[in-house]
Amino acid sequence: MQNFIYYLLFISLSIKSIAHPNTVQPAYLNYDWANEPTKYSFLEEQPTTILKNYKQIEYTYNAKGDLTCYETTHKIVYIDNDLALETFNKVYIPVTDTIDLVRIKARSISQDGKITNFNRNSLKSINNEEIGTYNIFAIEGAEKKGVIEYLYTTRTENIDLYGREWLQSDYPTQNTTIEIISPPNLLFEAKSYNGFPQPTITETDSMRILKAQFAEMLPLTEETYSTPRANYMRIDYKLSYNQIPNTTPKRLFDWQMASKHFGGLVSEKQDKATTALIANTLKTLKLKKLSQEDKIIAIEEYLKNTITIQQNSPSASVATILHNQYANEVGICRTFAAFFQTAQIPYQIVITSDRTKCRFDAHFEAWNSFTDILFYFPQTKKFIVPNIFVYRYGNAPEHFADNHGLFITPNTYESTIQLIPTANFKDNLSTIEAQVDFTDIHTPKVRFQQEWAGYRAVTMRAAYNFQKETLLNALATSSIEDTHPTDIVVSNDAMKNNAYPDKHFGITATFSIKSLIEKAGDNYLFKVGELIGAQTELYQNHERQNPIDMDYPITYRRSITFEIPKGYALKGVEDTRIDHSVEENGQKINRFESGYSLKANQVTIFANEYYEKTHLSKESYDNFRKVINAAADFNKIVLVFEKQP
Amino acid sequence: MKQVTKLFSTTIFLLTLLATSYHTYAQSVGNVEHLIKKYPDEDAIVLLNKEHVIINFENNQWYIDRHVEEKTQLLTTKAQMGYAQESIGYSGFETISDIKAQTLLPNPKGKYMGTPVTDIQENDVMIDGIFYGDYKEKTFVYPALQPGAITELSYHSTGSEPHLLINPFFISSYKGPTFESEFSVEVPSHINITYRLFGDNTDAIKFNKTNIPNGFKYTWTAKNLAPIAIEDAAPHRSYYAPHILVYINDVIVNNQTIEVLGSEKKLYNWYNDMCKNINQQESPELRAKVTELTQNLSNPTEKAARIYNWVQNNIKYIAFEDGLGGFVPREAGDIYQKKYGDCKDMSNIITNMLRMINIEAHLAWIGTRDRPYTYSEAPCPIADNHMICVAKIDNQYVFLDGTGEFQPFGLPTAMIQGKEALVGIDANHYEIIQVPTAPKENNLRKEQLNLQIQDKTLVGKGTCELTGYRKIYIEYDKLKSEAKGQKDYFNNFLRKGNNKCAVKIIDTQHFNQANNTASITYEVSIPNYITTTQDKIYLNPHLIKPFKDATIDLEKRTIAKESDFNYEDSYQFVIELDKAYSLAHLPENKQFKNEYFGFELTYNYQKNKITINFKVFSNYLLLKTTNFAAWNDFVQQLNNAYQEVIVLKNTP
Repeated sequence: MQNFIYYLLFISLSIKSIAHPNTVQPAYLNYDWANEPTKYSFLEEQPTTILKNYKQIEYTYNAKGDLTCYETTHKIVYIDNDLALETFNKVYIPVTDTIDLVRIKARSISQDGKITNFNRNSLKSINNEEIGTYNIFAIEGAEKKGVIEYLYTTRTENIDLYGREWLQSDYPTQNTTIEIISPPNLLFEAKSYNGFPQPTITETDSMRILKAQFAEMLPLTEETYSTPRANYMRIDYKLSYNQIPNTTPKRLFDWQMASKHFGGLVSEKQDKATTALIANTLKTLKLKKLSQEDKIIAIEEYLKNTITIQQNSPSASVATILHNQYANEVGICRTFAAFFQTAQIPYQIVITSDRTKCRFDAHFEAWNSFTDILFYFPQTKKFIVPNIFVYRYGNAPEHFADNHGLFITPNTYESTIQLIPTANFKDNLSTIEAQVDFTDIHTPKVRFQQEWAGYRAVTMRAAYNFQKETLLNALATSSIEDTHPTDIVVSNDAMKNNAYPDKHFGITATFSIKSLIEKAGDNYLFKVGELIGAQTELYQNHERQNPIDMDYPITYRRSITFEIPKGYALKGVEDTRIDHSVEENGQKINRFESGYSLKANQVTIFANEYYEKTHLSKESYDNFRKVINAAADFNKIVLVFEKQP
Repeated sequence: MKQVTKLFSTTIFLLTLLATSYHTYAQSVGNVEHLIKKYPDEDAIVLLNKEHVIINFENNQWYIDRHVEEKTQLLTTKAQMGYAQESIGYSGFETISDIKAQTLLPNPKGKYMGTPVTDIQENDVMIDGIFYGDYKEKTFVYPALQPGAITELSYHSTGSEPHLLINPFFISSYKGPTFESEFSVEVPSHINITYRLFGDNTDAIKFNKTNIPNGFKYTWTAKNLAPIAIEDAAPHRSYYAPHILVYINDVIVNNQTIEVLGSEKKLYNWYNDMCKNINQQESPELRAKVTELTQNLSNPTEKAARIYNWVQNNIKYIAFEDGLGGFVPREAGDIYQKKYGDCKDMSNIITNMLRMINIEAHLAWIGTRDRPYTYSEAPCPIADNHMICVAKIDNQYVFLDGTGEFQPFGLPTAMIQGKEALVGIDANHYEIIQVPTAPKENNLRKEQLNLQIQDKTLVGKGTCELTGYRKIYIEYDKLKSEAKGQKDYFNNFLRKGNNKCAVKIIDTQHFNQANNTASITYEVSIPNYITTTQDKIYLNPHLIKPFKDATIDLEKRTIAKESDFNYEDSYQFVIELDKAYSLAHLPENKQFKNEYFGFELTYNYQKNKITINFKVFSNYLLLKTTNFAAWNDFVQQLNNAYQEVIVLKNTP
């Protein structure tokens, strides 16, 4: 919900200068690059390095007494290879109708010291609805083993009084500095995350400076089961007080203000005509005899099937949305609210963030974290997310769950910070039951029954509804494309069933899978492990950087049964015995366990796996890896049918 | 996700899905049930696909007016999602006006009533590979969509550029079957045009030429057309989707002929005219660079190679496409100073640098393999989309594509193999020269691996040699994977047997443009690969299984299969046996070969060593559908071979 934050622009505060118009020069004018570029000495094997990352956000009153914001960015980057050159030789500066570029300087310094300065005439502007409005330019004369440097300042009077700066990346960074400058009466607060130092305060007669610096920052890269973006060092800031002499300062941009703002935005009262229109629609849904829960599900089903989300469409009234049948993210939330209001279903509005990008801080009002809207139903303790079609009434989607949120009661705008719970590992289920028939030993027939529940069912139902064939083909083993499944039975495939955890989504089909069998002279090899599908293998090729973050807790249960073909003896079944786990306080929180049982000629092999806790410290990586890789081990198991004399 | 799913397309689809929302089974409206029954696999029907072009020339000014009309009936909820947002793309050469768009829905009496689109936005289009361009689009959302709804759109495009504004008209659509398609062109009698039909099944198109006051009207109509197919490894749609190409030859005014297009010569004249003013002045800095690069070399090939490699390494690809600037290279000196450019700029700087040392070099226009046309079939700008430098050294043509970051000197990029280059010799002369296609023997992956069995693990040491396009593509893949932050590309590339396989790179050599052959030395360990019982060891010798899942669905696939280049892979696995084991079973040798693809698999046992030689080749750029049955036979036989394993037994 990227556009959501822009709704905040309408917040008006009396922050105009109460003193005389400002005569102090903006601080950014005192900041410049060195005319002679700094001479750096590099290591022989110097990787691409951000040598300087300077950011200054300056709030100041202009001559008319209006608050103005200057943002200055200064970067120096050493370029080691082509990839980095192609990354850093193009610069995108976010501008809009109300943000001007007041200064821009750029130069490249080649290995042998040749300086090529940037010509401002080469600046182009683009306006794209997906990426936004930018001034763009290419750095001239940039070379490998050289340095790229640019410095620019933007100015706006259309001001956000809060913000966030991401400071880490997948390149090593030296000399990171952030400064947030304001007039003495505007008290900004800032909080650093993921190891970036907390800012210090310097106050002078004319300004107040929050400043933090970091000398050597390591790169942070993507790893399997990690959310590096949420782990990047960053700083969040916001205006907290406007000190007006002889008054008690009131806290600004606090939880209460957020509650009022978002509560009002989503649950504003509808006019009579709109309410009547909604009441009429509700009548056609025949809600009267339904339980509270089924009412919510019916409203959700109706609205999600009727109104499409068009992210970039302009804001519209609920009546217009119902007429056009499309809405942007905020519009669809308002429509849901209006329906719940009219149907007299008690609800709360939840404002939160995507935890894979940035965790919601329950102790600091970081307005940039107010990116997503959910609905919470206190009576049933369940959630709805209005703008995502595939998720239905129940647990919050996994990227919002296990994260805090601001829960707002409509009308009163009272609010609390609460943890958005995630589903129990037993509720997210993926099961396989496979019966293998070796009547024709060269082409085994597999009756394959798969079921999913919880978050996993959400994904699989969506895949089934929109890419049926791809899904069916991919369901069993990695070698199934050549065959056409028969006798397909599907259960509970409708999206609406996502709201009913007991209704498992299931597909049963019979496949002929030649590649399960290999010929070894008179004997046959049965690649039984392939029936659970290819499994992630975690490698240990460098020290783990990120803590472990899985998408959600989950349980896997698989069972494979078959009869040993007549005239053959079964060998190697003992290899199916595997057991690995991660323990915490004596509890097995993650585990893979497999084994077998034998009754006459009938063999049953099971492979069960669960991940109860999905956020683990990086120190747990070795044990975690063993559990994950145990499934990959199982996937390699091959049984032997040996010809009996 | 714990399971490594193969649902790539699903995953991608889900990503878009999660960010949007759409209907699944909202009630359908209107008399649409019979259409849904008749077309159960389709999401929409294109009721009308129409374009009318009016060409005129007055007061020394061209007028090209296109009127486009589209009418589509949606059958499924997937279509509602996919086709709700519409965009009209256009370049800086035209103006879009009179956009009329609405959703038609039947009222209770069955009469279709319109809900108009009111909010139309303008947007800059970001095109992959173009940093800044003047492509824009008008976008809007159709309101009140549901299955059975009809979307209706019409608009005008007007402009005055006679070479670029008549787009090829595709009579059918990706959206679904097309009921009615019509393309017409109105010209006054003093303007001459040419038309040509391309693609499969053009017999379905009916043509009609009628007199109109002061001129002619050409009309092409077609009905009940199948949708344009979408397949993996497919050539560009212009190879198979039926389409009409119209271009202006000339206009006669006051007995004077003003030439436009219609012959290679005229096309060249237009291109040459745009480029004639560049490079009037030599850049002294560039000349100094050329001198520095070539001073110790005497052989022109070496000099040219040094210059080409310098451009590859120092001029980064950044494309600006702004109006006719999209057709004109920048000054060589300017490119040298900026250190970036697009294909035209790179061609121009190479051409200039070569000329400075008196090597014959020319700018050349060329269509990549995305364009099926020859210049004689389509003597208009649609035939090409790329520029290279063509040098003549020792009486041989050398094709120098500056955008090929990893090309060794002399090897054209794979995307222009077999295509015609329009080489600009001078103001009055050009030549058309075909770029050669590299034979499979030039593009090799050759692996030799010595292996030993250690319990259930297979360990070994090997080398992998790569040549030609095989090498270049690996270098691109490595770059792409590094761009995603993955630093172990070669380890993944060489992984074999199973995904537990650990690869240790010992050495890599010659991964640079100066060499056509590169090699990697590595160690490999494949745990859990060997199956053992009390007295036997089972070993699958097929450590990699190319084309394992490559079966083509003969019932469905109607279009040819494309390959980037011809190649041949060969693997030799030598397994040294411990004295504790002896051979119990060795599979039979197998092979399959025809002109386009094949494999050969041999097993040999000698002095406690099992040697497996496996060769597989692909020898086509475009494989016609008539070869698909043989292809499936090939894949089947390969898979049969992959099922055969080696058995060892304990030595008593």
